[in-house]
Amino acid sequence: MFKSKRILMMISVISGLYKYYGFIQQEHSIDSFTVSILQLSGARGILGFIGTPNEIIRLLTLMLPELCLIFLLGRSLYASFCTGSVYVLSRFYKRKAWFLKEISKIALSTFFYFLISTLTICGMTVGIKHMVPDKTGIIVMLLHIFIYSLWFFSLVMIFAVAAIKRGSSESMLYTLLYYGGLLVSFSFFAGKPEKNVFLEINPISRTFLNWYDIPGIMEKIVNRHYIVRMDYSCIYMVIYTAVVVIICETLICRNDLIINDKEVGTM
Amino acid sequence: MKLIVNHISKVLKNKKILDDISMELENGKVYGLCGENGSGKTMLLRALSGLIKVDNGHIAIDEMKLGKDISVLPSLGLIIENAGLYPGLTGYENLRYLAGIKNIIGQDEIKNAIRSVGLNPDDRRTYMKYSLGMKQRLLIAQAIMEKPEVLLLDEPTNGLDNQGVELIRKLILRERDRGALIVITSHNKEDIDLLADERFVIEEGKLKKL
Repeated sequence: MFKSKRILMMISVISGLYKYYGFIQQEHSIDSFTVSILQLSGARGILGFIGTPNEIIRLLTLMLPELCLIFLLGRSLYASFCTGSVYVLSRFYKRKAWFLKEISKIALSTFFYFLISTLTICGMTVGIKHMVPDKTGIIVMLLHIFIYSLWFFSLVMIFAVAAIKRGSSESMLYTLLYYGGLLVSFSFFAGKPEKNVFLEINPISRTFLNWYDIPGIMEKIVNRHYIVRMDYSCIYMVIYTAVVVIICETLICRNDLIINDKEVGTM
Repeated sequence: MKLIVNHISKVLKNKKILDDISMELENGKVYGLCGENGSGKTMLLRALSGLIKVDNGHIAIDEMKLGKDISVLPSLGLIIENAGLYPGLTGYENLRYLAGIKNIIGQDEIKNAIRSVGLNPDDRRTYMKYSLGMKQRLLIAQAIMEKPEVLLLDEPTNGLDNQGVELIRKLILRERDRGALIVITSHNKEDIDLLADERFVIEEGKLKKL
């Protein structure tokens, strides 16, 4: 928690390198900076994500560093709440203030992670693939950092609250089930235009930037079953994250301390 | 300053841990709570601090209700059994982090508090490498370092050798003389007899004055 800035920096750079070498370097149909950034949300070359089982497995492999991030950051909030929290919260008049302080640290860490890992990827793309960042590419890059920071921040919050309620090992399972459930539901409804409402309400749909209605992407990416509005998605993700934070805040602030520390097991 | 406990109850897993407890506590006194394991001593301290919410009744300090007007007691030093500090930090780093929350004391006060419990503030070992007795001493240092008005000490002499027990007893009496309201729980009847101005026993969640 206190000595983790350097570790976070290292994870972010390693994650960037992993994604570049695993998902961008070998993809020969990547013809621009924009398309290379779109690989980070599941595109394969110029093919958009359509939710086949193979694509979902590939996406989960792509997201492996983020799954580790959920565990690391989520556990820091959990540890803060259940380990030193008695002595921290006995000095805080308002638990809500403590909660907001803790989650703002997590939000910053998540943002920092996506900023550094994305910049690492961009640096590699420019340096090795010699692709020049264009206007669309920069918009997609900023959008990627924004949408994914919010999305993974909300997953970290869900992990942390599940950890406080059920213990940290079980909570990873619940978080994966939630993530997996949304992916399966997405996969089930993708390609069925009459069921678009289910894609609309599924936050996962907002994370596929190759579906966005951005000029420069629309013409380049093929195989799309659905078009996502950029402005609507940004607002949706902000509201979704706010709802998750409010629910987590309510649950944590109502929680009795220590009684729920599954690891220590005290009562 | 008065800490008023008014008919509080707490039920956990269908078991009444605290059963209709009332008491009035004032500053400059030590209150001793004894009772068997699982009788509810620690739970009462947690309730008094505001770290857990009671199901019925209320706790108030100077007419401010816990859980309503304030989340925890405004000036509180606390030791709770089984609640540790951050394992990867040294004793001084732990206390500096905690002191940074209120920011009312500086590094001299932190170091003095560590010295007052017989530890070395410059010790580079992390908390996880401390012995049980050293951990207990450090917890006492964190409880007293900000000179709080209320001290709630759960088994303060646990894990200490005879010399440590003597030191901590003297420290508790010094805190009382400073004007702090102190509640201690202990299995050790001698602690309660030597330190407490008023004594209570908890049996199956019910409080009785001795």
